[in-house]
Amino acid sequence: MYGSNEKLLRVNLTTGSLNVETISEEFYRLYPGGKALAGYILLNEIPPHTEPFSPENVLVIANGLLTGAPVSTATRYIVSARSPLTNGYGESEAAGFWGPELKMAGFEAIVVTGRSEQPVYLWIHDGQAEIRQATHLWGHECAEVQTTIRTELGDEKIRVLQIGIAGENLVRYAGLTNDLRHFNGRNGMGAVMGSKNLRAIAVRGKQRYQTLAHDSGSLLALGSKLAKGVRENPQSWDLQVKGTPSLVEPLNAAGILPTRNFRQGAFEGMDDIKWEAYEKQILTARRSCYACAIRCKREVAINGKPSPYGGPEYETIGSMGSDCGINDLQAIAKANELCNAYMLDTISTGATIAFAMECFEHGLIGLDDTDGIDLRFGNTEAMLVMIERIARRQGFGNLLAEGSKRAADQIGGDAHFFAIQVKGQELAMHDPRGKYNVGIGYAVSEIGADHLVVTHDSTLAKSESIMFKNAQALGIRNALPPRLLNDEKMEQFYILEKWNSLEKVVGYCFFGPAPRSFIHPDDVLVSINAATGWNLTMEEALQIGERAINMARVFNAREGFSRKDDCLPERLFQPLENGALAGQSMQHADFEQALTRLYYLKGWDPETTVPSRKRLEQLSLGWAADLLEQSEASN
Amino acid sequence: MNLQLGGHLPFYVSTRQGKLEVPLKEPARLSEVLSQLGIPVSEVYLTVVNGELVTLDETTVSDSDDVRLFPPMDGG
Repeated sequence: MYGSNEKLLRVNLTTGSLNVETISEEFYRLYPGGKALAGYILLNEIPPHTEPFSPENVLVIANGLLTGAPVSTATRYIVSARSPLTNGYGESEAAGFWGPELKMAGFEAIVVTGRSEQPVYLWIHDGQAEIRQATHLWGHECAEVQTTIRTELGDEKIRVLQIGIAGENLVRYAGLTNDLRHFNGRNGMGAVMGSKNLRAIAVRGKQRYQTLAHDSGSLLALGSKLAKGVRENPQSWDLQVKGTPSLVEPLNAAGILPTRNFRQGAFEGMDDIKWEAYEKQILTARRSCYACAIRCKREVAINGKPSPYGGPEYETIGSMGSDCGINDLQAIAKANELCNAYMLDTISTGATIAFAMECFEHGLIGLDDTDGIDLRFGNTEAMLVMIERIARRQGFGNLLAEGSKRAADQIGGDAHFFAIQVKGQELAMHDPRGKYNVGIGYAVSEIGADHLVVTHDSTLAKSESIMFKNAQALGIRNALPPRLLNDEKMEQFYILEKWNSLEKVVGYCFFGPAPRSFIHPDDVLVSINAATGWNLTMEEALQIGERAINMARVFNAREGFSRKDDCLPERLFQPLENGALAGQSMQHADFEQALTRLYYLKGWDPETTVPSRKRLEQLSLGWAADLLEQSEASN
Repeated sequence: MNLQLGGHLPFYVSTRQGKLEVPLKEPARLSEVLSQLGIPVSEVYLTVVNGELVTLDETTVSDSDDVRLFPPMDGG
């Protein structure tokens, strides 16, 4: 087989056993890495109703088919397990250098089961793997741990993927980091890894992707073309020059910059946290992921001191800034640094603090509950202290470490109204009241609310735009307004969700392929086919994406999820208090009607949202239909 | 006219700077001003004139105006 190492490393931390399993091409063509490979393993190997922190939960770390290819933005890997935040199918993706290094070390994926009695880390190099003790790493910040591992293994070029103190303490939205600057933030995958007493996975390899490819000449030629294309395309140029902080001002102008726990869509302190302020106050350099010409990552100095953890992305500026009513960019950068040093998801952390701030202002909690912290919107010190306490599960931080949904259960009263989450996961910093398909994506996403489920509506709102023209290759016919839900909008959602899922399978970043960015869909196919020799069509490629979505949906169906879980927080059906969309909201009837139409397109039962056997068989997932029936029979 | 270009819109001006002073002797249609500057109207998603969100096609601007333009902005 081309394009793959054909090797999967299995690690049982209870027994200490390490086994290498071979992947066949027949299997890999259906599940070519990332979200698809992880979904297959989770569905087949995690028994129904497995407690997320039990040794029986299975942690999968899977490269995409193209991860490590010499093509800009093909750098991503997925971390997947049953999520302790949502209790459903869990996944979180990240870029950087670790995934490509794992490929160079000879493995497509790592499957971790069991639980070690003592803290350990994995050391993988050139087809070899060993479990090493990590008692001396436990309780230390991520930068210290990376330095210690590199020093004791004697190689500064080792790539370290690790959890932090938050994962050790089972914070339900603890994540993973690689190279201290790239993050699998969402869904609490770091807490699952922490529950297994696995602190880190260090990798080093010497193989190059080109040696695996079917047609390395075409792959290198495409990589070279795309590297030049980065500078010739306006979207990727913007990502290179400004990065995601570029989003702050336009979203504020559009009235959908989440502000004070999504009550408002415009922030009066926006000028202090927008890109121009970022560039002036904290920016020190730009960095890249493996073989990516965009260089969208930012380096920053906080109050003059360089941070080892990179700079805040837009999502963090939103969650720690406007959503908490904070306009101090140095403090936002510090909050970002703390989250990354302890390895907390910045989105869920900021959003959960914003939830607590609103509870505090409404008198649902008081100083007696918060250990004396004046948890009002805009209190910078309070936000920074709460991050520390969440990571260490100290005092009131122990409650917020459970996430906003569980915290609302404990607080009671109207607290549930202030928990801005879906399936237990907090919303990303995009208010769907200004882009309805993002709201549909938040609702139906198997991992809970997330912003990378579907292309955002504004991208496809103008028929003459570059983004829209590129989307036509996917079968998108008409430019539609962002604040519209109708049958054609759902047809677009159905296509775009599959396309975004395919990216998560093969390892492309959201900032690579069109319509969001600069790689034309036809070139995405060229890259897959040059790597594998499969001659994949667009229809087959989209089916790979759809297959991965359906496995995640079956996983959730088996755990008892149904249509009631595909919902949105009630706040989004209430009017925005200010900004360009003041007084505007989503409408329940339109939302429910759109969901019904979408389930029809997906071949899912509109009452239960369970995929039909017919649709599963069309996707070569008849085995998943069997699993569902067995599960129903045993209940 | 004070013109600020957000997101990827500076890509279309030769200096690639996001802040421009555009002298206007008399009021003009904004779409025509942008056309002369080489900024494609098809890439403009939001138009804010003197702090108010307006519709680009219907907007006339004068020399004292503050104009901010933003392209479609996706997530990430």
